[in-house]
Amino acid sequence: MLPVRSPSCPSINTTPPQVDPNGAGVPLHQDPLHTMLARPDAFNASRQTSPSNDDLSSSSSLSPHSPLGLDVLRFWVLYPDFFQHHPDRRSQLAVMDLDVGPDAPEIFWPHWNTSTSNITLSRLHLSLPSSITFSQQTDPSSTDTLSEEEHLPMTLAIPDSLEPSLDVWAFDDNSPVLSSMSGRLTRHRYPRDHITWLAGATILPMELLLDILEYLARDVKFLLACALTCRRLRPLAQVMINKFRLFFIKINATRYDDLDELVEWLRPAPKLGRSIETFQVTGMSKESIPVVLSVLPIRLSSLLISLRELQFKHFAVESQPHLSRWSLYGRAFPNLTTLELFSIRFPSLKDFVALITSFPALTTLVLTFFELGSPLIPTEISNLGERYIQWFLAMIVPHAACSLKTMEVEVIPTSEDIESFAWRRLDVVLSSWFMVNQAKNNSKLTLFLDKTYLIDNDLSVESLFPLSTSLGKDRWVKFTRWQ
Amino acid sequence: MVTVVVSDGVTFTMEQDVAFQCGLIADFAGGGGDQEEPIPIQAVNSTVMRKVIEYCEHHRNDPPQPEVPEGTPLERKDRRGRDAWDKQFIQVEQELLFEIILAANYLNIKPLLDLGCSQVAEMMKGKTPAEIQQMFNIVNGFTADEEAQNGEGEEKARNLNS
Repeated sequence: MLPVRSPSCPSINTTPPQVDPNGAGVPLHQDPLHTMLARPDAFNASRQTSPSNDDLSSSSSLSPHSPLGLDVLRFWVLYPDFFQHHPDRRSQLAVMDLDVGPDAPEIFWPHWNTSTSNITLSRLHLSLPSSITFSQQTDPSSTDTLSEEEHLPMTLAIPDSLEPSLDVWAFDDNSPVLSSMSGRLTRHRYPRDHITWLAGATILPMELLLDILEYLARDVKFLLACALTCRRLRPLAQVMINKFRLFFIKINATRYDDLDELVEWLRPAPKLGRSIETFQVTGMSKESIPVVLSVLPIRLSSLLISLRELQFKHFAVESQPHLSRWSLYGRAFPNLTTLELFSIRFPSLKDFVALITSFPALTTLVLTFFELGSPLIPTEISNLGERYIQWFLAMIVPHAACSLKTMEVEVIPTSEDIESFAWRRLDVVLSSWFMVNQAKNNSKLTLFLDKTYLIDNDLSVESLFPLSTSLGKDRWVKFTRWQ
Repeated sequence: MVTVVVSDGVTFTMEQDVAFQCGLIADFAGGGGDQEEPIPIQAVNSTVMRKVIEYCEHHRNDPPQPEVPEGTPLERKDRRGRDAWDKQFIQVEQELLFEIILAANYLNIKPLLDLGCSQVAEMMKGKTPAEIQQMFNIVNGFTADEEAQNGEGEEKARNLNS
């Protein structure tokens, strides 16, 4: 529950005081809010004859017996004089929660008949008098009160030059039902527990908030969080999203909850979800991998309908049985053109074929540290001769209708791998793939090798892949061979 | 030497190369000569001014910052970068941090403004809406309709989890 009930609530006497016509002898303020709270029937009547009171909404829900269903009124208070007199106190603003629920020992406005009715008021403008006198009350059970130096005057005269800057927020459970009021108020002696000093983002000018957001402008999760934080940050976050055209989203799914969190952020922002073209999952733990990968296409398919590129980074996806369910991913993201996988092992050729044929629009496949399982090579084929290649082609060609144009393989093989049968199989696979695409259309094969490794082992890529051509990048030697 | 008097009446005297890192003071002083009259800095109090001067003194020998093209994202501007001293310097309470930002903005000290804003960004990074609200003591202010819309989306998401 957001509202914190105060054990001791203030009573406020305004100047000049007015007597409640109901005879309680309690000062009563004659502004719209007071009128409404104390005498909602009169308030309703006055509003009906006052069409200019447009800021009061849902008045039809008001009744004399249930004026408001609120538990707590929250006041954001600007108190400039305090700042002048107490320079060591680095805040001009305070938040004050007032317990106004049915159990409150003393409610803010006398004769406020609180009940459980729910009334939604979108906005109220409150005109407070030029000075307010508080009758101080202390909470005997609280030892955490303001020091003597922090005590504020009992009566505060607000200078005329001061722009009215009181924001009043009311909470019904956790939902704000009063969004804003403008007016003037001060704070008073109150247990510290119930006063939260506000020196937050709200005191920063809009341009500075924008500056701050720009530092995280490419962090979609952050911008979404900002958009849901408050009304003031939402348009700024939207500006950032539009400004930088964020099409990339990255989730560090160390927990299954991370995916949940992402879904919760994307749900209220369907436009943003539709604009995302690249989605990257990284940093998953062994525990979260099976769950996240299994539910990811189900949870996100309706949110990321424009997804073009899916990347799994920095976690091994090998030996995960659900990864054979590529068709599920293919159906979830039918427009996917690029797929990146990290440390994947294809137990059999069927798994590899299932992958490349599951995505109808897939044109680029990037494999990092991938391994071909031994079942790939029939045991009866013991060398890398023509028979082997023919066998491989026999498996691939029936699926040659797949749209794949580019396959990038990033490998840092060990010296054993280079000479191993597995590495040679890789060579064969790549060669075979090249041949398949050669027969099909213009395609390219891109292979990344660690230059350092090659130098250390006195190897040249040409010796491994004679048809390759060096493009001469710094760390990575990129070889491309065209048909 | 340049003397300023801040909002709570405290005066500070500093050397020109320190003071002129504040664009406002440099403009006020006209770029030359010692100022006889203290320059009033009413928007900054002494606590914040001490921090500002501490920053300016530390960076008094820094080379001029290169011009950054308009429209460059701040994350790429890196006007001055952060060294270990900066990181330590900006580790202050949240209230003071905001006041430093406001002071840097008022005094026109771009590197300090960037440092403060980037620090706030760091503090906000990875936070959920609720955490940001709590951190900055923000009430969301959404109308009932907006709140319902947000809640509806979140509710659906929760239902999907169950």
